[in-house]
Amino acid sequence: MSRSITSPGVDVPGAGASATAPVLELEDVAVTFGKRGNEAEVVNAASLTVHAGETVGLVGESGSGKTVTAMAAMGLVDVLGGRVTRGSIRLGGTDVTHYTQRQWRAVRGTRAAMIFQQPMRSLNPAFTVGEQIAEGLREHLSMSRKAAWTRTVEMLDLVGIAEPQRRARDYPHQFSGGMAQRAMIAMALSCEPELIIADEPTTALDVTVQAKILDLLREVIRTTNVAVLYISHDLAVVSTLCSRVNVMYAGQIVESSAAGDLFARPHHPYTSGLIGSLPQPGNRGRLRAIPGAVPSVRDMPPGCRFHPRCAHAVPGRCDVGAPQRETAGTDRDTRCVRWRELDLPGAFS
Amino acid sequence: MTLLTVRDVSKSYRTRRGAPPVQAVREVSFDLPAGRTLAVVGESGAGKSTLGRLVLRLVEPDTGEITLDGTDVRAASRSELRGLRRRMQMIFQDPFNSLDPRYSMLQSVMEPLKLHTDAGPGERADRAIDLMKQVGMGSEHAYKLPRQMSGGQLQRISIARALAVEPQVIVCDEPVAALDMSIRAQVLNLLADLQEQRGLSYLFITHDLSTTSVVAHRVMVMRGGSVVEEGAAEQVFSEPREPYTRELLSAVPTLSVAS
Repeated sequence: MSRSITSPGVDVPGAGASATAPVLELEDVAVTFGKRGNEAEVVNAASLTVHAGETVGLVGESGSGKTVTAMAAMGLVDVLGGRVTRGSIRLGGTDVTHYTQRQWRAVRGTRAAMIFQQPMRSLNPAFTVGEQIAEGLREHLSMSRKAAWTRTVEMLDLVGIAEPQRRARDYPHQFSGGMAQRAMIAMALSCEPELIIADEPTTALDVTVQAKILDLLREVIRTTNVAVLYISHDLAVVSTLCSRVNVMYAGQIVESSAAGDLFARPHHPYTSGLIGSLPQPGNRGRLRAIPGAVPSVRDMPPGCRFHPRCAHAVPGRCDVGAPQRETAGTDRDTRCVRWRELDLPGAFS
Repeated sequence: MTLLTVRDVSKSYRTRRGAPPVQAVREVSFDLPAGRTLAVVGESGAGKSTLGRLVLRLVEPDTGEITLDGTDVRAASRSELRGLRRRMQMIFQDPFNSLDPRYSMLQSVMEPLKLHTDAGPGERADRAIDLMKQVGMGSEHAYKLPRQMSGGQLQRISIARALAVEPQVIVCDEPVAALDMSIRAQVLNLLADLQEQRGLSYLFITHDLSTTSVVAHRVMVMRGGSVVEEGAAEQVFSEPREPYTRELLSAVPTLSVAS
């Protein structure tokens, strides 16, 4: 294999192929935790689509449900003790909503892979890094021991680990945080999945290491046709990586749009507030903060879930009913009933 | 006017018997003027948190001088140190760990008043309620426990606690790193308001350069225990002198649109 990141048989560059089904499609997914009578609906309405070759962001604060949404897309909510109670999950057009764990095991690793925030916790300390990557190759692709090892070393080389031959024999504790995350990316890519879900993969890293990992991810995205769902609380990181962004608040996707439009002209007050909360370099002074805090899962406000914190909330409109996603321009939608009347500040205003 | 002066402070730790000691902080010097913020920026292992603890003598320096408003911090006796710690307070990254889980919000704010002032119980309660208001926490939160509060609310309580003894300097060690974006902005704005109202000085320790840019008057960049560069915030951000500062600045993601 040459030193470039390519998926065999597919060489569609750039945007998603419109003729084929999206790689990932979530439609109004709800996820509930807890026993009957004491349930908490952590995700209420998550709809999003990721096409081949596309990088889509899922942005939200802690408790917004973004990680649980990702887990649903990987068939991992039962493992966490939750269940998908509404909606559908489709991978490459196939409905996988009711897959058993046995069926999911055939999907995970080969068709969809995940990268987590804490690479050290995702690696088993008792096995070498190389053994762990090779194990996936042998299990998922039925490779021989020797072929799996060769490919493992190639993968480590690919993600920029120096002396991959030697490093493959190292244990996780011999890796730095940045190297461990590179190894996780190698592991995720090794079986050439159609979909990678990355959940805050750079949050635990130092800023200079983060920059290098983001460069690596950009390279992977540019040279393969993989679909990426990138989950982060960091709007700035998402803006540099994603062509499309979904904003999640209190278990719902409240706005979805092409990244440029979303940042330049948000159509939901929460999106606008998040943008205002971002410190702009070299700009001393007060930030445009959002007042209040995220509501608790068991105590959701009526009407729009954001209305108690919203400067634009109007009694009788925003605190009643359940706002639905409204089309707000080409290929974008918002869950704000007042979006037409509002002129919300964006990133470049 | 310079309030806090630090000269050539060093600290090393022995990790293992026989192994060479690790130099956590190496000959660091700075001046913190009254009513200003000095941001100490660096990545993990830069020595910035150790520096914050050295200033308060939570960790004893090996060498160097620390002077607060004319008082020699290193020479202070145990009782003098208590007076100094009234004038220099600290806020930590994780308010869940820095507040007593069994104390109500009111009790947490009253505690430093009990330790450092001779106010009676009634006066302590009145002052604590007033402090809570100043950080934007109504009296409805007075009897809540930490587990009933959000991270942002707890950080406000930590700030109220620090303010209770009317300090001149607050060492803020990553005060917003554990908070969500929207809450981060609230807490940063609160710190700025309090500085304006009370003329507080902040030693603001952070790994996050974008946060630094909104709070700092001066910036000190650290790496491996040493100071790489120090200067006025605008100057460090617009014309960094050192390659490492430039590398740090260019690594910070800013809102832009992916091509």
